[in-house]
Amino acid sequence: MIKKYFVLIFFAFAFNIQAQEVKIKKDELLLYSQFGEFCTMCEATLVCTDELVGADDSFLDNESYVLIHLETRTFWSQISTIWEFFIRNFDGYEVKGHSRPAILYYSQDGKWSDIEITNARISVDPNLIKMKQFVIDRVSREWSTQENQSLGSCKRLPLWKTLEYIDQRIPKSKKNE
Amino acid sequence: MNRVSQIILGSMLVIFRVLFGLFWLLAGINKINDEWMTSPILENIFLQRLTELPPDSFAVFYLTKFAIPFYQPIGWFITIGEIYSAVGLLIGLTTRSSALISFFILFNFAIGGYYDASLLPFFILVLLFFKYPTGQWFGLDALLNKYFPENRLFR
Repeated sequence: MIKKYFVLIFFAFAFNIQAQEVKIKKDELLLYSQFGEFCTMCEATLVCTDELVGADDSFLDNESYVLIHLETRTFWSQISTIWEFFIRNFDGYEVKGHSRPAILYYSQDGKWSDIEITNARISVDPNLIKMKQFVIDRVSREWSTQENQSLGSCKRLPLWKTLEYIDQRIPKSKKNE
Repeated sequence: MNRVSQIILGSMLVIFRVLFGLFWLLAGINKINDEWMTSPILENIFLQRLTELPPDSFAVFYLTKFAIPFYQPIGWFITIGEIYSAVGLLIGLTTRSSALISFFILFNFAIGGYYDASLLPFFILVLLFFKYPTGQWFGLDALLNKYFPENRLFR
């Protein structure tokens, strides 16, 4: 009898650890909560480059990269979350992705050559962010083309500091043109 | 407005009330399953949200000074409040109080930094459920009001 309890406790413990692992993995995904919901009003900034990104402050001033600002979901996309939240209560109907606006800043040796406004498709299973020409793996952070050719890797940047940096480099009026 | 359109609009409001109740019920059950009342999960949610909000926003003040220190009673209030409102709206029992509690929860979500456009239809609906006696049209309020005509809960 005691042996049975030990086996039961072992399985309960193992299951608990497994559940925690799944939660941690989900929690770590960009713009995604531990409860399997996409954050509608969250924003994120990423920098993608062909080499591993260093963390120093001068990187954005001097290097070549694509800086990506993932904006909040649009008004109607936010309204649609009512349905997403409702349907996720039923097995197999979990919403696995959405689109939101993104701004891409292209830098060549620190000089911003182009700014592109596009739509980013963010998904779980597979954990990807797809933009026009790029795909970012949200787990490995690998940055590649739609044809699966590696371009480098991406790194999440501190949001508010980076937005301040962008505003300093480009006044808002210019960004909206 | 003629009688037919009144009946149609009233029926639509009752249907929305039932759907809203169902939505709230699922949300409340999820919160029980996610242990909002018994674990520090809500504190983690608030702490996570803090990192996503503009540092000078009112929501940051609200979270740091009120929501995070009192996360456990808040977890209880939201979970029980949602389930109470859900049952009330579903079966038309104390319908207007249920709408008022729903409004209060939604309002706190909004000022706590969990605002987005999806809250707008909810706000409009709860205000309509509060304004019109939908529990009298379809629900237990109609029955209970006969037995307790002085009681404001069943009006």
